[in-house]
Amino acid sequence: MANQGGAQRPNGPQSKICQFKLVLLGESAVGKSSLVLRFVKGQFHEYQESTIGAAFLTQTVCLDDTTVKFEIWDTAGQERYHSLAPMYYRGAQAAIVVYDITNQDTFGRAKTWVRELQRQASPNIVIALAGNKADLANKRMVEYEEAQAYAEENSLLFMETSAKTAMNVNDIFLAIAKKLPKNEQAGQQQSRQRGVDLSQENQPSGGCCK
Amino acid sequence: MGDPNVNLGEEEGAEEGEEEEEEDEEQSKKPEMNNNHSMSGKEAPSVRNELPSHSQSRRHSMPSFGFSLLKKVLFTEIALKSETMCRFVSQLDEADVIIRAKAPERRLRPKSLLYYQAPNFGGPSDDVVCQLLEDAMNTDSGTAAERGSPIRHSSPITEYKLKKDVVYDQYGFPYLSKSSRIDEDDLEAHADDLLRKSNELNSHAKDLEKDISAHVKWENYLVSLGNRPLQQSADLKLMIRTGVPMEYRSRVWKACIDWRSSNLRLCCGDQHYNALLEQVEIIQSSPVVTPLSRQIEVDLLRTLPDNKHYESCTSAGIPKLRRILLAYSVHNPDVGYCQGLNRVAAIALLFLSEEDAFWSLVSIVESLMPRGYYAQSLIAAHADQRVLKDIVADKLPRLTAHLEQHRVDLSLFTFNWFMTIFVDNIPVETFLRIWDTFLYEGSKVLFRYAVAFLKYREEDLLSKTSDLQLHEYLRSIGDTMTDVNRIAQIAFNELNPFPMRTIHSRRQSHLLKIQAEMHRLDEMRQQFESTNSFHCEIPPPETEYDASDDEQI
Repeated sequence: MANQGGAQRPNGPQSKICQFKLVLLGESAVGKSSLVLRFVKGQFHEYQESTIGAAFLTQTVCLDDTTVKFEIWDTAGQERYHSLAPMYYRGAQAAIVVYDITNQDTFGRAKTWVRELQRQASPNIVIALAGNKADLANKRMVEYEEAQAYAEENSLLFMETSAKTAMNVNDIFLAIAKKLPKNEQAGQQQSRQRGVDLSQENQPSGGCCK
Repeated sequence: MGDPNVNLGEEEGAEEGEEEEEEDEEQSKKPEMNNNHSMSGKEAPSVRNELPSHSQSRRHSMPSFGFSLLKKVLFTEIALKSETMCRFVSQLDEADVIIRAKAPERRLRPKSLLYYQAPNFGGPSDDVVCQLLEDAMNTDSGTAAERGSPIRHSSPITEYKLKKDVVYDQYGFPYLSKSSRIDEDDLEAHADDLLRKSNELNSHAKDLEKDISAHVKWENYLVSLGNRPLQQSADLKLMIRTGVPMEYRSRVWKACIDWRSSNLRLCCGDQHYNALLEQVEIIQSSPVVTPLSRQIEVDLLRTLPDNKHYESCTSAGIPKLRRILLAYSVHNPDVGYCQGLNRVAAIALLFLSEEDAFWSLVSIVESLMPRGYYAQSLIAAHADQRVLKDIVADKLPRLTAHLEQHRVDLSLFTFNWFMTIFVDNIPVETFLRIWDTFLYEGSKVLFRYAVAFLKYREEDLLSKTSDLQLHEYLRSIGDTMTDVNRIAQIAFNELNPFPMRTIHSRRQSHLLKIQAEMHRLDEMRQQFESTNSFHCEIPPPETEYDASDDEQI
């Protein structure tokens, strides 16, 4: 149903199936939707329609004996859509915070998102930092080492990615899948609300193996 | 003037009479129909080569048997339906239908285009049929053996090749989705495309008679008006609910925009747009790029990237869209530019001149939608999502219980419909129909259609048994909204009563709650953020409810 692209199919009948909610956050036009499109459909569009509100997609990856199904929420980047973000990251087990390596401001914005997630999202959320547009290395404004150091300080997964060339795209999702807890207890929803509930509704929980 | 077939206003009395007539409003503007500026127009679909050469040499993999069968079934259905339509249309005296093949021997063959010329008939599906037939007949090169074959005996359907050429509809949107054009192996996407086309054709064929009758009605109405401007009236409102024919859409939209913006235009003066453009030029010549103009620039080619009027820097629509968005950001600094407005402006530009499209943006943001919809914190948009939930709970209690049981939040999917006036993966004929009524009646129409969409697919939604299934269904629910006449009937008849008074009071009460929540959130963020402040501009509470504000006849 959800497996639309080139991802791996579930293994066999014995494999464990885990479902995780993942949210993408980051400044406008850093390539959030493009990363998802590459991961889910294996495609790249030079001009990807700007995301309004958010878009929902799913993709499944296989890890040894476990099938991990990602429910992906790809959010709008413009500052004023920030007020919607809690609706999407609430209850998420994973987040990819994306910046554009050719734009220093987007890295600053990524740090703000990381701080917000650390405070407001589920306490055990796995956060990955993606320095996208790595194919434009000649226009680089954010050094790899700087981002890596920041990621280490904050215990984030970190990769530079390129949705255009597909570099590290599957890898970053796989790395997240590996890091996510896949036992019965650890994947349980941490839906206890911290902060203000803007939509009054708890998000459905996922993250438990079935 | 009730349409015997559709009757989209039959139960107006049930609306608690909140729609007071405001007729005979003096129109200062001549409603001249200026099609020179609009980019649309009835024309044969143009063909353009899009894919790079390396992909043209790729052979797509052999489709599975099941997929071939699916295609075969679809194409057979399409071909049969097209023939039925031809017969039907050619029986009409007034339509003067000519069906001719481009081929000199006047026989159908692969790669030939069929033109359905129906000068007095503006049915929406002629180009669609033409394109479907072409698709169905299309082969790689049209070998000599295939030439001269009639439709049903042309190239074997199972050898159908996925198209590499992009063919556009009358509005500039491609018939095939980007996914299926780019990835030849994405059979699922292609099957979805074919199914969608088949459904569209089905709907159009079913409603052909109604469409013709509505068209005749429009023609008579406009002829009787002569050179006088369109007047707001109950008749016109009902006619708009049954759909504005393509060739009258520019005139009707312009009239709606003129009614909405006439006061503002009087205040700002005739030269307002030109004056704004002068300021825009100053901004553009400045070496400092503001975040706002950067955002507009980044979004231009990401507005309707599939539409031929907006697909590249050299497309005709792009410079106009840039000027409109920049001019609006100068005109209304509180709103500036909000993602979503680019799509709204782009659709307006398909039917209106640049200046009128600008005024349509003004009308939508400042008159048709509640205050604060597109401003910094989108607070009014948040409030409307809660109002929608209230209405869904009221009109569709089973669905609400089902969604609550699976803890699915509708607004994750419906938010976009409101922000973009349904320009969000919804069939073009459907969202244009929504626009027709939205421009005339106001934002209540958005609730009507959102609830109608859900009611139309209620059984499907109720059959889903998990949050994931519901999310997946809701993600693409818009795609399935092809039967626009049926949906309009639900929206305007079956959901009644649908009083504006209730919407207004719910808006007010949710707005207050959200203001309080946002205020607390803002305080928390400021407490944590020393470097980054989160701005939350809260508009003052709206003034006393005025029925004519949101909904006029």
